[in-house]
Amino acid sequence: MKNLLSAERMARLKWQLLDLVYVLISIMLALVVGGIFLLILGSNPIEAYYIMFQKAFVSFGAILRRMTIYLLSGLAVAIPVKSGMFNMGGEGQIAAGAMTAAMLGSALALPAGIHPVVCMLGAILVGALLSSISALMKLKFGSSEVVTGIMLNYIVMYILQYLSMYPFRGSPNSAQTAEILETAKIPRLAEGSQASYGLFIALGCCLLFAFIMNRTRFGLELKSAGFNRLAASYQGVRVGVMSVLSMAIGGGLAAMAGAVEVMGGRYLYLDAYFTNYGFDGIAVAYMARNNPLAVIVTAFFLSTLKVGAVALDRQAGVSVYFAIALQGIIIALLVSPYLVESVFNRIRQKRLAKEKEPAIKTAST
Amino acid sequence: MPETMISMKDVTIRFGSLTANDKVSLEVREGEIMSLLGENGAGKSTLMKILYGLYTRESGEIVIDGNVMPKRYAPADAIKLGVSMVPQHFMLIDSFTVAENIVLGEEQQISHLMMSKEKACAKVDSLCERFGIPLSPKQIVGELPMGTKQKVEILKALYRGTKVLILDEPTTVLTPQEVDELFVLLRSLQRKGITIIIITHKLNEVLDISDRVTVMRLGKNMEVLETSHTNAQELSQIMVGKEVSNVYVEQGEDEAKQQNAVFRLVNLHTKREGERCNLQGINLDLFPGKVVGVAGIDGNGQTDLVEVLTGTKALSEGEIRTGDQCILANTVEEMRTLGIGIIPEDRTQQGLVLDLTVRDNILLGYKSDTRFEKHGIINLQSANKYVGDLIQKYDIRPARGNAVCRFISGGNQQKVVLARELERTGLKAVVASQPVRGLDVGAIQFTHSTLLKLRSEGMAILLISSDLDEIKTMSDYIAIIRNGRIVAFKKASDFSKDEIGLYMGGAKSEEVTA
Repeated sequence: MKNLLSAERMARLKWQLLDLVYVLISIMLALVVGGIFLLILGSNPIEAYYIMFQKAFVSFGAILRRMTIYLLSGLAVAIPVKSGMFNMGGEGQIAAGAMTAAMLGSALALPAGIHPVVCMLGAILVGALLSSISALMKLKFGSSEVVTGIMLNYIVMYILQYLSMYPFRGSPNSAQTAEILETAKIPRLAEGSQASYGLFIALGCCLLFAFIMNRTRFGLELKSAGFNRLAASYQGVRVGVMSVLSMAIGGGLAAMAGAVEVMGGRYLYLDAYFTNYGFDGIAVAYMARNNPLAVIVTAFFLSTLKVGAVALDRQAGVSVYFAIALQGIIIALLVSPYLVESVFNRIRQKRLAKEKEPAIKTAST
Repeated sequence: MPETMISMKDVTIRFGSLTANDKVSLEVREGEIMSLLGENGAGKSTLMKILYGLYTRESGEIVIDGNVMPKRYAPADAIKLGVSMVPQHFMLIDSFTVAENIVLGEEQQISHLMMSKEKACAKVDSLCERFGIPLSPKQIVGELPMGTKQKVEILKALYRGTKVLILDEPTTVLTPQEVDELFVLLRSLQRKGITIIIITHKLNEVLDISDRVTVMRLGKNMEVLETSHTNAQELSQIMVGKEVSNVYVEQGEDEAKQQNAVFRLVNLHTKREGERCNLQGINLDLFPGKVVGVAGIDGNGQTDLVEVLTGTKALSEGEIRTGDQCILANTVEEMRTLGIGIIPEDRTQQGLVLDLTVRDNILLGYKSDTRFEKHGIINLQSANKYVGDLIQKYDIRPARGNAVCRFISGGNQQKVVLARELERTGLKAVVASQPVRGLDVGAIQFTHSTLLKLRSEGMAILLISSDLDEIKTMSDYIAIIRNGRIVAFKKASDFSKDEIGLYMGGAKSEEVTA
């Protein structure tokens, strides 16, 4: 009995470890493939990677600022996935959240303690409404939330472009809003640092959702709806409601990412500035296997990669797009779990074959 | 004497510990219609899948049209020898036309390079004419009724030059009129020299259509009979086996109607969804301390009945009465507060969320139970203690609440379902659907004795099963369900097994009103 217990626990642990190993191997493979690209481009890959990570850590504040966004945009994907929904509209939700925060932050006159809270709540509301559209359309008409999410991204982006160009334009030179008031700003971590206290809000969200998913009735029902809708409905879980709620949460979190960047970083909405954070969020969630706590690690990793790439661009003349390509390779390797697994198996088989070979030889002679 | 078309001798196949076919023999003569009769799980389909080359037998000989078959062969080999199978669930492409579906995979019969739709249509037309099947080749298959789709499947086989046609439960998806049409077609095919094997569990069909019948039971073949020399009674007896003595239930004296029913199901109707049989006026009473067994062939409304009592399928008509309450709109929460525990037929799909732990699966069933949650936050300590107690009481192994259900055995999965459903406070009735399907002997005994213990404690139990032995040994009263209605209801001791079989197969019926 005791043996059986430990054997099973070992098996589970082995699975989790294997998962981690796959992620690490995928990252390493991607760095190798990236290295080959660098060689072709005429740079020394080791030197380039050294510059990338060294320079990245010099601008640690930039890493943390970007990580703040990734934490929230990663959660914005990870939570809906648990209920079986895919939040593809992160791009639009982030930008809409940013615009909402910028508008409320510049237009309202409120005391310092309350102003950021109001901006944040407004952004969350807008983001949640946006993502709920996709969820409701799936529920009522069966339309894929991925497709409607992508389409909504375009719609939102162009509406925001209009808003920043005409009614809320705050600068004669570019499509951007006015800067938010001092009362609406989230303070920086230190004088001159890029990162703001928004980082702790984002980290708090990770902890909060780890708790919600594992320790509350709501989290339990959400997960059960994602794993097996039929069995969940047999236990009285309203699976449709769960889908919509989880998407609303995802949209709210994505909008928070945009709002935090406005209130703690950029201080205004700038057209075409809030792009790709949503898609990067998918990468963060995927690498974290949708675990809210693991999101902290993967958000940090991806942020480092991105900031490092900027440094690389400046120092070694390698384009920023290299980091994007590298990220693409990592994700491609991660979404093909059988790839790494099959490489593993082939190695194992070869080893087995090698062990058998001499035995066969002796038998034949 | 016509020649032997198919000869299978002592064919054996095992799936794990289950011997699906145990030295089964089958001989089919050229140009005859042979029925393969047996209950669900008797091994009929398995035998035919071996013949068709889908499964590889362990031992035994197979001769098709004079060709001794090697141990391992593929459906393509069987098709070459003229054997084809019309599956129970049709394998047609809905968006293609009739002609396209028929020539699919055999286009070279028309042309090697280009597919000509006209030629395909012409070819299908001439085939229809030859066999007297009224089909228009240009129609889209998705728009056709089930009966016509089946004809497309048959025509597909004929197009490939079939000599032996195997039909797997061909009438389950058909209306009575379509069944008549099918039988007319089969007879005309027979006249054209085609040999037909029908897999079925319906007695009437056997008597209607076949020349001979091979009866199977529990993976063995029991008897081969000339249809003209037998009757429904005899067939039913061979099919379900000898009378089983009532080992569990001692006969009670009290009459059902005199007791106060805890639950009265009155004229329950549900909407039809797809091909699944809906409820068309179920009347049934549940009595405290009694087991009411619902016997019936799978797919006669059992699933809807369970879902209505679970609360996941809405009633379109009728009501559930208990005490002075009368429920018209049945939700999961409503049914749960009434005190009904549900053991669904498919524990891996309906009973459990396999990717959650034992503890979470149990907790899932205790919504807003203040013992385990406060303001939606789970009280891990009391939840773990409760689950730990249940694990001990029901002897769930491994004895850990955080074991993921996917990785524990089927018997233990069922114990988790039992623990969750039966330990609820205020439980008044238990609905158990196929509670022992797929379990090993030990788990079967555990499940049955748990249910009987509840019975002795005064619980009302509704046992739904397609296993007649289970129904007979467990029930105080037996109700027989057919086409979404209860066609018979009596004390278990007043039913002979033959009679149950006759009601189930539809050879006998009486409307029952509660």
